[in-house]
Amino acid sequence: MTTANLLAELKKTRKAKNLSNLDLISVENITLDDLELILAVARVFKKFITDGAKKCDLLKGKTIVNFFNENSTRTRSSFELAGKHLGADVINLAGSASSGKKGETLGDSARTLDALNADILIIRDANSGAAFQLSSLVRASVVNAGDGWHEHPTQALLELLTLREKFGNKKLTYLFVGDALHSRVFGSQVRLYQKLGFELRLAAPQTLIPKGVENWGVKVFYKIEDALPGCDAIHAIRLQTERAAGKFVATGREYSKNYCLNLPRVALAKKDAVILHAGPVIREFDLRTEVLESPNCLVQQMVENGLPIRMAVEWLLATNKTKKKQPW
Amino acid sequence: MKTILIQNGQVVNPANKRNSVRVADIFIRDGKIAKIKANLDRPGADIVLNAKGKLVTAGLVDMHVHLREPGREDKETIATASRAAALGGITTILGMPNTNPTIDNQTTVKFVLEKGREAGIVNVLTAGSLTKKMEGHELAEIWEMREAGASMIIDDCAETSGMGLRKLALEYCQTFGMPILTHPEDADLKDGAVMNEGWMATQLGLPGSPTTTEALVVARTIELLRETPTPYHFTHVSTGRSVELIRAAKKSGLPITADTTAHHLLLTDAACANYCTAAKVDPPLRSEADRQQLIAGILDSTLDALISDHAPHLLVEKFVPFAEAAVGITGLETLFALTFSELVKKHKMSLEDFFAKLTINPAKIIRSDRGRIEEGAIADLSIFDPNMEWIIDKNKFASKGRNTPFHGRKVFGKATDVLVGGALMVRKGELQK
Repeated sequence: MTTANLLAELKKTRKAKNLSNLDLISVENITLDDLELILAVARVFKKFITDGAKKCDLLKGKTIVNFFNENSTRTRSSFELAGKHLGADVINLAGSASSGKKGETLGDSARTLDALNADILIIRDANSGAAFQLSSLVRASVVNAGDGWHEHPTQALLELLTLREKFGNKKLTYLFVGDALHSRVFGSQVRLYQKLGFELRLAAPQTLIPKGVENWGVKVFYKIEDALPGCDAIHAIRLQTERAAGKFVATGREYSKNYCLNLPRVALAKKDAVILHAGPVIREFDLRTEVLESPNCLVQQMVENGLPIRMAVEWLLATNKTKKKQPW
Repeated sequence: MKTILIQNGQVVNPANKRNSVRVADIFIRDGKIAKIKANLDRPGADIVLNAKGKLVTAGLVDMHVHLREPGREDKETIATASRAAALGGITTILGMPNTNPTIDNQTTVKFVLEKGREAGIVNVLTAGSLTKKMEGHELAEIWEMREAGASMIIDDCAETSGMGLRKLALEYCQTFGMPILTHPEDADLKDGAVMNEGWMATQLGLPGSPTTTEALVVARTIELLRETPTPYHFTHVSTGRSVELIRAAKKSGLPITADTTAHHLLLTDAACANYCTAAKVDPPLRSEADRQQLIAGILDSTLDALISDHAPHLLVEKFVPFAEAAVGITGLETLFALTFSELVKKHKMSLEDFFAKLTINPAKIIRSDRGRIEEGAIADLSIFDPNMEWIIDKNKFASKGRNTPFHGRKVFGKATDVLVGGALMVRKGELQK
């Protein structure tokens, strides 16, 4: 596919629509129309990539800044590659200490970032709310690439693209297993799937269940075996040991004994139930190798869908007809 | 000293059970209330204040204020806090000892009292720390601090989780009659939490502190008090369960008192939405059910006093991600209007019950002779216009703090004139000094 063909295809798909929001901070800001637009555009990009092409110059002259205040290789590379494929200038900034500790306010950090004249700012931060707080202080469109325990919207979008490829628009019975409390991916998924009318379940020890989770329409189970029957999709959440989740369970051994997805457990779900994981997978702990390598495990597809989803988000935001107001 | 005549005000005296609210004139001479009487005939007073349609009360007593001096004069000084207090109708403030250095010995106690006199605007009192440097390990020289003029002693549970030291503190303070004030919070249960545990914290992805963090310390302390009943005060009570525990303990005759803040009475953890750091405070803003129980506790006098917990911070300490933001609200200038709007205007609390919680009750708890409006008393008086509607503007605060979640809120009631020791400190809403 040539760039000209790609652009024609994108225009046809887009139908001159724009995202309703100029930032992507939370799934709460995405309307159902936005969602379908992102997925449709992502499918076009996916086709472009799978046809063997890589680079196009749709965002030539635009600047994308990856501002990552927390260690990340996968997400950062995915955003970086998405920007480069689109022909934008991409730079990576890594902050170590938070602005406050350096005697800076969020406003100071924002103005420094804004001086780079970025069109899109991709923010990863250990603090919940960091992307939201910065978004109103900069002219660039802000994409939340993970903030604390709060949200990681593109990760939920790429999983939805994967599910759509398998199930179409079906309303699924969907089970989360494990550390929902510390997982920002869960934070985005649960909001997204509630919006789509999925039947949501969570299997975890009480220590890892967020307070009020039933307000998201989630039914809680302590025993994974009770939660599995009837499930179309099972998402294993990694125990967030780097976010001090270790003490929320007795030992890794006891946790995996009770919650690790193995073949006998998977057999309790629907016959064609799919296995999902946001990576990195801890083998034999979140998932048994035989489950990870089974045909119904979509982990690899999810990784592949990351790129087109991020290209779609970046392209839609950078070409939005509306521009953000000067914040200062 | 100039004589002052306050005419035709509605005089509110919670101590006068039969005639607690009445229209009367007040004559002030030599810094004291010389006469309270209707249609008082005193021609020739140096200053005449017409208080028609206004409330005349004892100057308010705020028993929980972070003065920041010594050590953090960039956030607030004793002088700026004094100015803010006077403009809020508050004539006596009790400073907290978490300064740098900590107020844990007679020298630092005397420093604060002296600085208060130097500012010369309101009565500045101070509490001392129960333990050296507020570290929760060894008792500070409480007896000497008492003699140097400290009003109370603070047991800050975040540092003092051990009950052994607390039991010793009760017995030691009983020896020389020093009331203890505690910030009930279990450090172990709090465990890094930055707001109330619940649905809002879940939505924001922030670690929450359960209500047991407070209630558990209240319950354990009540058990200790049964063995050693010494005057004990629970400050900034935030949970419904604590109110229930305190209500039952008071009924059983224990010498317990308690207060809550304006912000806990008016706000819930919903105020933290959108990572609003102005609403980050310790103890955290709780649920609506807790808030309703706090109001019930104030109305039935389980809670004795209302406080500001004035905690000014720098912009750079609040304009950061929520989890890293400092805790606290600047509150001296809004304490009266917020509580008056909520309790009197909205919940129809009687004027005498309301003002008791801002004057005579806290004065008694901190062993002060102020907070009284009677002949012979020192003339600390505030005149409030109960019908003045105004919008809180943090940029107009006399305090150095700008951290308030109430910016832009419409409230009722403002101090127009304030007398401290018979001297007119605020006149028509303007500081005279």
